[in-house]
Amino acid sequence: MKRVLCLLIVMFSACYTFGQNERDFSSRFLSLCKNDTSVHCITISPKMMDEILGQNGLNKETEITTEISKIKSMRVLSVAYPNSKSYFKKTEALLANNSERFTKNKAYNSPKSEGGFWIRNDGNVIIELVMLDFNKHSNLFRIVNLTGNMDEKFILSLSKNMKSKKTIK
Amino acid sequence: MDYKYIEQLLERYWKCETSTEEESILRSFFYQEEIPAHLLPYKDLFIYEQRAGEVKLSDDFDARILDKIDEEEPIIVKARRITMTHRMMPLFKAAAVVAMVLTLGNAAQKSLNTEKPANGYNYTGYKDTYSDPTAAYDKVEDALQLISEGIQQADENVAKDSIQQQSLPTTKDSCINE
Repeated sequence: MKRVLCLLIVMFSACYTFGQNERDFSSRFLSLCKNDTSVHCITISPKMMDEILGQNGLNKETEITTEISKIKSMRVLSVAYPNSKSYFKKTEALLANNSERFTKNKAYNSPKSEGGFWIRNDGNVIIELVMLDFNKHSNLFRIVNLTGNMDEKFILSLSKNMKSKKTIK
Repeated sequence: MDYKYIEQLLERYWKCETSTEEESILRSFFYQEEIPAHLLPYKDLFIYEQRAGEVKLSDDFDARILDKIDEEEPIIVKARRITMTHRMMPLFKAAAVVAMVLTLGNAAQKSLNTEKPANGYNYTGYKDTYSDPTAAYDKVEDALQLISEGIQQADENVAKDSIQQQSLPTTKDSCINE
């Protein structure tokens, strides 16, 4: 009886502890290639996102503040040649295996690059967006992982406004 | 025979009013062989001391006890090999208790201290690459630019595919017509 009770306590506490640590895709990906030095990661935490939005010099009308305000965190992972192609395929397979968690949203394939978008929804809110991009010319594979409170409108505004805002800047 | 005196003594005895001399009179009375029937139930009460004093160990008591001791089989102490695991068991138990306490403590601490964001992610493992918000902003802009280009490419691909699909039946129809 004592043993069963102890086991239950340990199981419960372990589940509780792990339940608190829901990780995004890039964190899971990084834990898979911990010792690989060819994988580089850029992290922008929620705290830094707040700092970016709070910058004094930021022009609220021309800059991409509306888009950034919907993003909580960002991670950009990049893998250079020669591992890039294999990592691209592996990551695609990983996302396909996690189809319950991530839904494939869009895909593209051109002479220049190949990639796609996977999203994780919580109701109508996109809480995570994963973009895979394999540049065929430079042989560079990149994962852009955003978390936050995004929606279809956000994706639409990105596709329409980014180019014009970049030009204005 | 008149036993009134004895009966009076008895009554006083029950009330705890008798002296030691009177009690010894009662004891010597009940030690007699002939006692009236109505006083017989009290006999045992007064003569038990003398009877108990008469009980003695028999002369061969010591010899019999010693014989019994000699008859008993000698205790065989068997050597038992204790493995390292058995020897370390208390240490394992202590370690398990410590691990449990730490796990529970950690869980409690996390539940109390961690601000779980609305979207369910825990960002405690996040370490910023840039400490300067301007540099971080540039990277965010680049990433959003990349996403934007990707979305545009994907939309173009979808448009091209739909045009191709629309043109396919037309070609087929023209072949049939020919």
